[in-house]
Amino acid sequence: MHGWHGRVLRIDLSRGSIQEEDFSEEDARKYIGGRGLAIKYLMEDMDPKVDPLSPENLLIMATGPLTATPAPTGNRYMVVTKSPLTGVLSNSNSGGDFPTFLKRSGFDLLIFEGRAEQPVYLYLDDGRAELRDASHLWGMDTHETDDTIRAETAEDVRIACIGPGGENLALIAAIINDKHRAAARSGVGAVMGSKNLKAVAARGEREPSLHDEKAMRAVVRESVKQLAQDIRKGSTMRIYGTSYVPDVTHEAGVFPTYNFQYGQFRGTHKINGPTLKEHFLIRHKGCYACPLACSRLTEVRAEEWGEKYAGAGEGPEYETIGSLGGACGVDNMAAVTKANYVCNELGLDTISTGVTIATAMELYTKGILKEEEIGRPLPFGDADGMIEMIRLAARREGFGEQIAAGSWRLAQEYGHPEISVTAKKLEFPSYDARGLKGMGLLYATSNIGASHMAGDTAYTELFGVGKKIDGLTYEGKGALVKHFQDLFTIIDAAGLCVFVAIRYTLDTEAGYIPTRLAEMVNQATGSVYTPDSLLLAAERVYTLERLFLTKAGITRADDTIAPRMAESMPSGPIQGETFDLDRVLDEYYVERGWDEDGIPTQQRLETLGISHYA
Amino acid sequence: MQITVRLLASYRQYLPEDHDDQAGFTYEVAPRARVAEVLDTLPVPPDDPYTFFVNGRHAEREKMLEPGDVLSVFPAVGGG
Repeated sequence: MHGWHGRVLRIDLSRGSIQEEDFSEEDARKYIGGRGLAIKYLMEDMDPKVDPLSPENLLIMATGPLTATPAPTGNRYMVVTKSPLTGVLSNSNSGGDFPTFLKRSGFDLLIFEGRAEQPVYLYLDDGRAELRDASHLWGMDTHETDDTIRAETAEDVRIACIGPGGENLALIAAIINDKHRAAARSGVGAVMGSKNLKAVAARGEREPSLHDEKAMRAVVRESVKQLAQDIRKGSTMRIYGTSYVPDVTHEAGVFPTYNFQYGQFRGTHKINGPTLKEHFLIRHKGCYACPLACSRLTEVRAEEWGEKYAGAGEGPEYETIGSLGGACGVDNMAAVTKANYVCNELGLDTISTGVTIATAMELYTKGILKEEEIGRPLPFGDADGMIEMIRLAARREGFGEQIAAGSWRLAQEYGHPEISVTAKKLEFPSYDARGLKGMGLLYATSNIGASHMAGDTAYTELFGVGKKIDGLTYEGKGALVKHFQDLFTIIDAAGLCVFVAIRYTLDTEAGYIPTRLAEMVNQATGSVYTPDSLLLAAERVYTLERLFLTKAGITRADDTIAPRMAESMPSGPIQGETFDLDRVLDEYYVERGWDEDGIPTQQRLETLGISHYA
Repeated sequence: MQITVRLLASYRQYLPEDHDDQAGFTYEVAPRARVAEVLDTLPVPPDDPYTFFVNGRHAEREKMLEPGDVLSVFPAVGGG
């Protein structure tokens, strides 16, 4: 087999046993890999109705056929499980070094089941797998955990682990790899914690073989030539990475401000790329073998910003700036950066954490939540209160118990569900849907809830990469969202980074066609995908994921969006705009071949070759 | 007539150090000027794929500008 190793590791944590098994090339092609193969295993081996924090939930870590190949940014992995935050699917994505090292350890997928009696970690050493005691690691933050495991295994391991957030089953807990990268969304860290699994450490030299390495390297050279445009001195990527985005979302009036009450923040210019570069940037840093190097190593110096904000790490990226900055009304970049570091160290999702604290701030500001209940005042803009809430949430101490449960439960608890800006209980990323109707439809229909990573139509509706589509119109958004969801499914399943794959493996001018992406997958695996057949495979995966939701009880009634999106935007360039889901949902279901209740039809399932799962 | 121009992200490097990014700059253009005519006069690398908004929204290059419009330009990079 090429591209894939064809090997799955099943780790039964209750029994402490590890078993290897193969998967067939036919299945690999049918589901592409990564996220695609993961949902196949989830559907076959697990009841979609299980309690996400029970031993019966499966936690899958999956690489794709392009992970650890020469494909630019072939360094991603997916965490797939049932989410304790949302009750639907998790497929959370991360880069860095760990995904490449995981694949090189000799396995495509890890499937964890059960619950270890004592804390353990999995050590993957070049084709061998071993469960090790992690009692001494329990309670450590992600940085201490990383350093300790490295010291007791090998210098060339890379580690994904949970911090106190995951250990304490905070529903907004992330899995952190390489200290600074996060498979962040929908509580995957809590699932890991519920299994008493502290970490996975991987090393090895088992690069996947390639079907046609020469052809692949030629395509890679072409891509890198195009990438040179971004890498050159003075480019936005080189200077700012994603931290340039607040200026753009502010300009369009879709920057999350005071828990999405507004779309423009008075302090945007204090928490944007130029501020980060001027005061905090140390140097650029890339994920494994990435020529783009869009991440930034930063430092908040104590002598300049005070001891309480001092620290060093990576970030913040755009989403973190939006959630812990604009949504919380915090215009202090030292504080936002520090809050980012604390989330990474304690193992929390910066998006869900920021938006949940913003929810608490709104409840407090409106007098619904009292100072005595929080243990302190918590107005918008209170940077120190925000950082204290993060620390409390990771340990579920004091009011942190409420923050750890996420925005939806917090707003329910205090009788104001309308204040929670979520879809399927997952907190919005930093794009207001009132100005980007495609994003609104994406949030409402995504298999994981409100995530930009599920099919970010802002590329065309906002950023204008390739073909530009007006964010404010409803026409054609059903087809657009379906296409983007399927595209992102391919990228996730293949093991690429969306940020790079969108622009260098798709024909964006022609309407985002995965031409080069199909070539690369073929060269790696020996498949014969056309752009259309690859999109069809992605639709198969996406629809199978939806079937998982259907079996968990999800229908049209759950494809909803935060009530705030029906409120008229009070100011800015999109003043007066709302997002009306009813105008686009039916069209979307028709595009998907689902019935009017959002259930995949037998006919479509048969076309996709997955009717046996119904 | 006067419009406001804002150069965002890396394009602000073509402006003076002390330029007010948030306010942008006032730009005197011919009455009924089209977006394309104004874009051609801005210090943006011509071979760079860029995106522009008129009042925060995608517009056609042939769109006719009105007094007080805000034209903002940034590299077409993508999100995060």
